[in-house]
Amino acid sequence: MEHTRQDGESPPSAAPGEETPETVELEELAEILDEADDDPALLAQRAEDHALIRRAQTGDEDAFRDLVKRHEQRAWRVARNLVASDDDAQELAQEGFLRVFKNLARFDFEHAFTTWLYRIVTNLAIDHLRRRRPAQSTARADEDEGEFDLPDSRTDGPSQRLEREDLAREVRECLSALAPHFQSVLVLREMEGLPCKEIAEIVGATHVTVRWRLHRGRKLFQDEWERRARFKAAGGDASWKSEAPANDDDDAPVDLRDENEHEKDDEKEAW
Amino acid sequence: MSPRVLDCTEVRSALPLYSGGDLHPDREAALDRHLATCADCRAHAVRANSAREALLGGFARERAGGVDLWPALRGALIEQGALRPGVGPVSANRTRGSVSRPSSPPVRRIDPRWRWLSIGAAAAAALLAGLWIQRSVSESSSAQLVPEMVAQDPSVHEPLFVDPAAPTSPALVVTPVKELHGLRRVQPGEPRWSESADVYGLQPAPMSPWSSNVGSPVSLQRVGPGLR
Repeated sequence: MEHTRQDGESPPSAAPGEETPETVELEELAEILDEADDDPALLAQRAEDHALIRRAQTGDEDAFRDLVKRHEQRAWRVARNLVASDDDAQELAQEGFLRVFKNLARFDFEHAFTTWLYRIVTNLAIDHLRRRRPAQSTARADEDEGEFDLPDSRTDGPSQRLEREDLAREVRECLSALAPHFQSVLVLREMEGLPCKEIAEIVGATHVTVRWRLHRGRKLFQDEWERRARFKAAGGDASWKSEAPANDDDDAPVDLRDENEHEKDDEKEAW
Repeated sequence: MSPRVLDCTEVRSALPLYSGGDLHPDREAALDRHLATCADCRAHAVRANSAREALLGGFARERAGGVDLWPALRGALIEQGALRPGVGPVSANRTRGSVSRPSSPPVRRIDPRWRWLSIGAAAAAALLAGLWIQRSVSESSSAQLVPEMVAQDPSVHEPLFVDPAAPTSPALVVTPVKELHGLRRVQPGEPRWSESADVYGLQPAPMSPWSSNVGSPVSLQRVGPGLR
């Protein structure tokens, strides 16, 4: 089976025929199936979204407003876990809905609206990360941190809240050390809980590629997390001693689109 | 066939997916068996789980104060000409690059369906009003004029013709009425029905109780319960 060459992505090089842990893993991955996405609640939500889109396509402003209201939190959350500030996340989410509106007439009802929205917002966020990434290596990552609610933060006391905010900042710094295509898969899988099949649709990659990015992203995050922990234990301030691991090359041929391709984003957003 | 036994390298390579429960169940079971017997790999599994738990714990879930994109989004859509203030979307395909229209006072458009509905309702009301007026006039003429005539002419109590086939009320009674306002009363012995009705074999139709001197000499008066 040849799964490693799809989308041009390949695991770390191995001689033809040589079995490495990675190639064994990929063979196993190819046999993995996601859970069936026939959850009645999800199907009902999908139908409601489609009904709103149909109304919005006829010029019903209230329907489009309802669609925005239903998914604005989701759009903001995905953006916020990929970019460094609340304001950036808000701007990206808003731009995402503008693009939704612009391409609403071409929406393909074979897909879930959320998949489309995730795709638009994720692409916007990845582009945003790529524009800002060089500057981040020399700046403190928490300079433009916003304020957001962490799990159970509304029931926390002040000290617990501070701890959680520290954790969030450190996680963000570790995530930002990863290449954007790893970040996006981690956020969509770990935070949003999406199956790899849907993530593959969102990021425009194959199912196996997404599995690979998930595997590799978790490993890179762990390496960065532990490296920072060691540095911190040695008395250093890990928050701005960020040395992004060389993780771009692992996946670079797949996800680094040409500059020309960015101009085609609008076309990609209609399907 | 016995289940496959994994070595430590294979197990550690699979730990990132194992920690998230993303392995095939058979593969996961093989790792479980190995981890149950290998302390070194268990330590690696603990580290992988800790990193993943930190990742999950550090995600942003909700913005403090909530997220409300609509006001700014609507403003942007209006600015781009995709929405008109107070009216609604111009077109879902026209946003970026559109020339902003000068703001004009909101115009409340009436749905064409409502326009036709209102016209229909007005016509129905006019029709009902007409019917009510006609009925009122009819009732008042029969209720006021007839008793007055009857009171002046005692002969009206003697029915001139009672249909034998319908001896019970309501009966069609031919009632002579007296001449009034230039009209003359039909006299006994005069033909009761118009000749044209006989010629054409038609059923006689009730004639007006008032006839001119050159008109039909017959007058019919309906009496009986339920017809007043």
